[in-house]
Amino acid sequence: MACRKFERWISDDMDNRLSDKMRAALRKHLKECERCRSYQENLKILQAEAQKPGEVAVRAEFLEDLGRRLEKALYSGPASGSEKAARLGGRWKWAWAGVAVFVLALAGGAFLLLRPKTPPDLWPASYEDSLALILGEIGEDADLAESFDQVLEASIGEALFEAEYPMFWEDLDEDEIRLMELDIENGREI
Amino acid sequence: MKGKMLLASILSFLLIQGSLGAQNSQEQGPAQERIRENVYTLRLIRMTQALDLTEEQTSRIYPALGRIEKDKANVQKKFASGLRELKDLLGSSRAGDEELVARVRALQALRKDLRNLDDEFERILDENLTTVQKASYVIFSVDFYKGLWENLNKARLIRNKRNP
Repeated sequence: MACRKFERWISDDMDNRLSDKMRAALRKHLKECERCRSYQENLKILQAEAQKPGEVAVRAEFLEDLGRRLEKALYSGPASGSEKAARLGGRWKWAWAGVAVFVLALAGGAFLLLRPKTPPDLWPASYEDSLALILGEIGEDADLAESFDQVLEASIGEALFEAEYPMFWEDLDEDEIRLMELDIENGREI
Repeated sequence: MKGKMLLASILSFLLIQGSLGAQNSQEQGPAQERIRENVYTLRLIRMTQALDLTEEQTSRIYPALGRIEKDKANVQKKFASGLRELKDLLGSSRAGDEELVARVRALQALRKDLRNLDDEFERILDENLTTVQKASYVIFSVDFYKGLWENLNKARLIRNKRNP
């Protein structure tokens, strides 16, 4: 039960929502509990992944460099504003269109390669068939099996916590909710 | 169902069911067996929440679910041992067509048994749920399955970070 509480605190701590007292208690618990340390580590990995912008195979430097080179080629040598416009409106518009198509194709390819795998068939599927597909994906990969098991245990912890305290705020009156908001604003333990 | 009562029902049921996993883990890989148990536990909790089962409903559904899981464990045990025998047979030079066909048919029959047990569970649900709960169960099943795949993707991220 204590670990389930600390799992929530770990998440709150990463969002900087813990009071000093709670943070100190969490640090103390983490020193003693390997399971929670592992949970914290996993959560940090997931958070870091979630914060990354869409990973596209085109580097930002490449695009900047490409832009600079195109600009240089477009505006090299003395040319009047109308000439520049003519250049842009002439053959260079095809170059820009080509670049756009190239970048889009790269991004599309990267999306297809990097997107997360989705279940092949959602419905109708029996529970056993669904489970067999998941276990088949894991196969003999012991590391993946261990990581999946940890994620499942964390989900069970969350589900049990929700079962224990189902929508506790529904029973609060307006004064209690206001008091809770004040406590949150002041960073006090609720 | 009220939170504490729901939690107590789930926990006491899981305690009773505990011996089932221990029995089955001797036959399957321990990692996959743990996953199977945890998926089962998570499904039970999430289903109870999603369908908002009453005490009366859980008293009828949980025992049936327990019996079916036990039957499934026995079928899985036979399936795992049949699969091992089939692998051995394929690896040896003495494998005759007739024997191979017989083994494959036996495994197909066991797989059918597993599906039948799933169907039996859904029949029990059908008899005990209200119309709204039946509809919720369909949504729940799809959501739960999707959730498992999301969890698998999270696990892949964690695994890849640990072992780049």
